[in-house]
Amino acid sequence: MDQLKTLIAGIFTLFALSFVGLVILPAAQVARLEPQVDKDNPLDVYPIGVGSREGRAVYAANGCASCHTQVVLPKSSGGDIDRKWGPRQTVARDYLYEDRVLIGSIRIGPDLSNVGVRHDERAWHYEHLYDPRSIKPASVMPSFSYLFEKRKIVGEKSNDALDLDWIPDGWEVVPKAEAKALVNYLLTLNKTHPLDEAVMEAKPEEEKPEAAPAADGATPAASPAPGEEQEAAADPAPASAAARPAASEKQNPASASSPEAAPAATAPPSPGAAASPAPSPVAPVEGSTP
Amino acid sequence: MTATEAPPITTTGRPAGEVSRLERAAIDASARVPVLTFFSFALFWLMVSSVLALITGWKILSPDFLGGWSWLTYGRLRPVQDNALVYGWAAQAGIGVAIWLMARLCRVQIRYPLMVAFGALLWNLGVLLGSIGVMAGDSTSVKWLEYPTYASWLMFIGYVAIGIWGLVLYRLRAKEHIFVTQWFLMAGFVSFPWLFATANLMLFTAPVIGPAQPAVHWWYSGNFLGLWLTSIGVGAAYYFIPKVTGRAIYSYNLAAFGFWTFLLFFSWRGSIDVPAGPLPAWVQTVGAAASLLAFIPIATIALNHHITARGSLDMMHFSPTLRFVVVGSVAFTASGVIAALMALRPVADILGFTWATVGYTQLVVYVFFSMIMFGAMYFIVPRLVGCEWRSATLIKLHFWGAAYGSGLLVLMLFAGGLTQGLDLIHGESPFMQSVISTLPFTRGRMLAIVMLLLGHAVFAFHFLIMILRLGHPGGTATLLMEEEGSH
Repeated sequence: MDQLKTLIAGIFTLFALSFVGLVILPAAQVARLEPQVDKDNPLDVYPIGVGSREGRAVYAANGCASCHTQVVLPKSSGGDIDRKWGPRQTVARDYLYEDRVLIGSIRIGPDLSNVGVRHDERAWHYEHLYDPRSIKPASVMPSFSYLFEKRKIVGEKSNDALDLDWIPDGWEVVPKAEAKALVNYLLTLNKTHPLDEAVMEAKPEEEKPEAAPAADGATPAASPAPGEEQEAAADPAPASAAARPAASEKQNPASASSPEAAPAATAPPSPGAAASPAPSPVAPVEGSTP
Repeated sequence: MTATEAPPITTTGRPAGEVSRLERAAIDASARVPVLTFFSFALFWLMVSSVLALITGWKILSPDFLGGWSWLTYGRLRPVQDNALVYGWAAQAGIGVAIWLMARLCRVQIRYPLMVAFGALLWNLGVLLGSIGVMAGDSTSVKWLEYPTYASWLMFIGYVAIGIWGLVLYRLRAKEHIFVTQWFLMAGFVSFPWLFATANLMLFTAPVIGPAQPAVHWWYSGNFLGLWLTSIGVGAAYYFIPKVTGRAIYSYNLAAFGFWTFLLFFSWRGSIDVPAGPLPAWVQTVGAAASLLAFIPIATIALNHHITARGSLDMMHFSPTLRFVVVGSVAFTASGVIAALMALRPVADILGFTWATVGYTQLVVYVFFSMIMFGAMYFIVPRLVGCEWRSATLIKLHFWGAAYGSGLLVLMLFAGGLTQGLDLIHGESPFMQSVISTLPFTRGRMLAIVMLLLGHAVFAFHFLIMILRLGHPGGTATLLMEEEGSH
């Protein structure tokens, strides 16, 4: 071992091997990924782009990834799907257009891959960011009140004003631009769209007819019908398509959405569903085969 | 023969005493400024990280603590804490120790101290700017790489300056033989710039597409801890255990075998605390296999150290260096076992995304790496300042705070992670349950953090005394217990 050259060459070679194997090869493998275009409905392309760059920057700037993940694990690995964090695991293609992947590393807070589906109302997000413990008393999430400002009401009360009971008359608490951008981004977090390589292990939530008002032309989030924030018992593992008509009777008979808002079945094998030409790009599939 | 005057290590059985005491003293004197510079900065950042650990730990228990200010929100402070620990403390302690080891082993006096001082300055400027940048909102949000690029490239240039300086010095060496320690230090030296530059390039400066980013991150994170820090830690252990016990390394061939298998298998392990995410399944399988195969170098290194020190381990009662270094080495072995366990699918399913991953990191950075660095510093500093450590009591306090504090920390993190994981893996359990069930362990963690903070503060204070040349006049080393006759 007196040869310096052997030593350096050896270190270099072995290290290069790991670099090629763990970085270059997987990178090459994913470099060929393209978005999925549905054969029956060419307008259904997924993914179609990052919802809100500005909002993602706020997410990164405030260290949300220090407590939250954006990965849904399959049923074989954890309780994510049973806990309704998503109908399927997230795969490489889900992150195709993210310029900075924010997978996170620890779950001090819940996973956010599909938070735009779980909580589709701006007001909920504003309230939660301003004071997490008003919604979940045991939450350890810090308050992001610095993203909001308290100001005198000028003219009419703002649409975005938070509903807080301690505010004196004539004042309101409104989100700053950063908070609005962040919520825009959160509302676009939706990785429920079916992908060929990912097995649907639960039924995705049905879509609300009205789109979430994303400020910069983001994909409208597929919104669940109201009332399923309560952690209802998990859906049984993918029911056969034939047994379930593509109607919305599952969790909320009181749902305001009319039957024809039932999402189009865009995957080929869905015998029970009428294939209506819904233009929505994120129509979840009812009863797709496992 | 006291503990600190053992003959230098020999790996080929050459007679001891080859390096004259005068020459060693000259080398030490020349190393004073560079090495102490790195040690001082390192201890500064260790204190910063320890105080931040207290704050962030308390924020989990009481989320509105210091709330309302963007600069102090948990999501910004935590990355500052973590990065200060590895880039501020660990990296610089490692560089300082490596410089001294190389100077001694190459038998070359340190020259051009301004160049290395320049490098150190840039590095610390980078860490400082990075920390402020993250607090101000420029975090990249990628774990272990949160510093904005304006700071990380500054650090990189600093490292390059140090590296070039190191190469220049190496060419001036008097000693042709390359010791075991130096193999490991070389591995670290070569790997770090590659890791750091590649990660910053492929993630931030010229980013690869989204799905490829987890691969870069996973490779960086695993190798930063598992190859770079580990190289320096193991290399240092290979020097100090024989040095303090006065014995030669048990087997040269075993050391060589351990080194090459270390490089081969550790570099493929991937990371424990950065999830593989959407990486192809084969990558994770390879990582798990490498973790298991890593037992080979770990067992080899452990065996080599153990047999080298066998019979002399009671010196741990006296020698601070040996005590710290042996604890660190045992932790190295333990961390390898745990890494292999955590790579197994059933275990990863439970412990993934929990505090347990943080526990593993702290096991590596605190209990393994930092303890070895402390041991090295206890040996090196008296030789640079010309006096001995002032107080055995302070050394003992430091040891208890560091060893038991980090042990308790790791225990709390793993236990907390386990309860968290068991709740998360059951889908019918609401998420909040996992938060509530880890609370007792989060509280236990605070005690550990306080112990660590006190231990570090004691050491920093003691180090300050030494720099001010207020230690005992040179002669016999400060031992942890009264020695009862010579060995």
